[in-house]
Amino acid sequence: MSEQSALRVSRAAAPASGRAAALRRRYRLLRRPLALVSWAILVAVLVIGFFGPLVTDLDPLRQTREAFLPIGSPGHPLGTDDLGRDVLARMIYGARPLLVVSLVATALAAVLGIGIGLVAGYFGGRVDWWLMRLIDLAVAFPSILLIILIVAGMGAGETGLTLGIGLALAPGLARLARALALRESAKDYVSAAQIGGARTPGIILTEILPNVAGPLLAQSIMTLSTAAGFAAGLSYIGLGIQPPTPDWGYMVAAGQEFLFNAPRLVLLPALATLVFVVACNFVGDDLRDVLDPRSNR
Amino acid sequence: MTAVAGKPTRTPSSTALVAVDGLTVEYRRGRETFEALRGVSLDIHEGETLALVGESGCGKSTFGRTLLRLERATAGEVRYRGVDLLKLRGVELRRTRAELQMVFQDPFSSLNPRRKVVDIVAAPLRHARGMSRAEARAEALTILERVGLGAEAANRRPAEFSGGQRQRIGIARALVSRPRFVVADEPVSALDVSVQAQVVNLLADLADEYLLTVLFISHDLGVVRHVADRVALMYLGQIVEIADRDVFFSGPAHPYGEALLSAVPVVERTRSRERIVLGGDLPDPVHPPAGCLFSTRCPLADEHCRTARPEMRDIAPGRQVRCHYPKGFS
Repeated sequence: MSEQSALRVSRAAAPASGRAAALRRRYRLLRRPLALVSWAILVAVLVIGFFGPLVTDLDPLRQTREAFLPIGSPGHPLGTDDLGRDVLARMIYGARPLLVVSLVATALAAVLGIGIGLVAGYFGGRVDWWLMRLIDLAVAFPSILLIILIVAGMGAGETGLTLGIGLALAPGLARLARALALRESAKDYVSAAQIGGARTPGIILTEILPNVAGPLLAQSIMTLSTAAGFAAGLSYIGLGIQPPTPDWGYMVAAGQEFLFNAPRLVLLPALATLVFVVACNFVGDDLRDVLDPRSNR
Repeated sequence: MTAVAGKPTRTPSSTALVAVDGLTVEYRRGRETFEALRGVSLDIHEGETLALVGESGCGKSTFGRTLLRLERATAGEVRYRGVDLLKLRGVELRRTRAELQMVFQDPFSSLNPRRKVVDIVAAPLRHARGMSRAEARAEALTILERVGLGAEAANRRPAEFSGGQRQRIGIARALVSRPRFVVADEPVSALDVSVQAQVVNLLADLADEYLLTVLFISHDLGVVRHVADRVALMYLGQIVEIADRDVFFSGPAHPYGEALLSAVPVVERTRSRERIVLGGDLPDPVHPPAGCLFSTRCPLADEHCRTARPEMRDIAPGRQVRCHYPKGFS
């Protein structure tokens, strides 16, 4: 036990030369198969979603007379849907809207939430009180209701959906950022920066943010999975991405009519969404463990 | 400390560089407020090292931090070369702050773990003096060398250094912008005894070299005796005695000072001292005693002490005490 901890200390104290540190990080990832698989899925979905449409000549919108072709049909590896459209093409094209909405919404939530949280935590006092009451107000609505309200106000579509999800998810990040900033602001290096004449935005962005970036990044990836869940769910009920643009959420809705004849029309997009969301969660978990200096890895 | 021809030497003058008047800091705790500082008035003379002494929780750190505007003062004035520091805002505040610096107690939390040492030290030059990155780094390297850390330290991060080395980095950061006034807030109390002396000596040497005025906050009377020109004793947010170092150490007039001094272990017992053990802890600052704040623990306290709060009064040139019965003067 004590030998082990001594080992850990000496390893932590060793100068982190770039190459050795990178190797060590890779080695550690190999020891965590779940994290490794999750990272692979996350990267694969992103690559397929953004580059898939560029490298295939499949057309997700072309209708043929060959409806309900089963998996493994010649020319249609995943078969066709009720309108004779190629399911593989729709799966590939259908990833992008989901990814764009959830990534942009997460970015929005991160910038807004982390911004508010850092300012509240750094200034404390009355600024903190008012900003946190604002956050409480946003949290008082259930997320889904808040998103639907915003989509209703802006009209169904990607813009409203993105904005709604972004606003609904900002409070979680804001609270975490505030708690972290509060802890860091009490440290003397922040006082030293103030005495040294640094400006407030500089102190928040260059002194505090780098010290709280790890947990915030991990939480942002978790937020991405929630955003993807909301995006898929709301597209499913018709508030998000509008047909005929292929989208996993909408594909589930369109396919459920044929659940018993052609279950793959529902299962494929549903499973793809599920796997992506779960992978995001595991990656977020893993990042939190790795980046949090207090965890024992 | 012999004068080198042509070089100005640091000798304590009697003019105040920092004149503090009636400084009060109140904290609110729910409905209750308590005064961390109860109208502290104190002159810090140009070129001196003034030690502020007291037990933990008495407000000495709050005093140092309030002077540098890290805590908000409720009332009072801090005049630095004729300007009230507490009223400065914006650009003027930032510019003036470069002349006032601080060495912190905790060598760990006072250095940003994510930044390189050279950037930590260079920061005050970049911000307050508006230097370019290259200029500031060059200056930072010079002063790092001066505090005993070579150039190879510059591109490392704080985690790679020991407590003593980190404190040297903190001193380098405090002095790089050529301040006139430095608050050293318990600069060695977090260090091993074996390195305390080195860091104290470094600080004292640099104070001479840079002609600094130093407010040295400490609870360690051994260190204070070594570095201070004058001693101010604080109890429960009030100054209770001010005296020249030698006068103070030859016999404090305030019973609190006497008790503190009697607790310092001595090596050569030429004359035996009677150890005065104070009963109890600091009183609850929210509900301080009605009379003299020290009356609850004072071995000399009588009815008068418990009802009438003493004022600060001169008992000898340069010597003030807040006690109804100062030793040797009553």
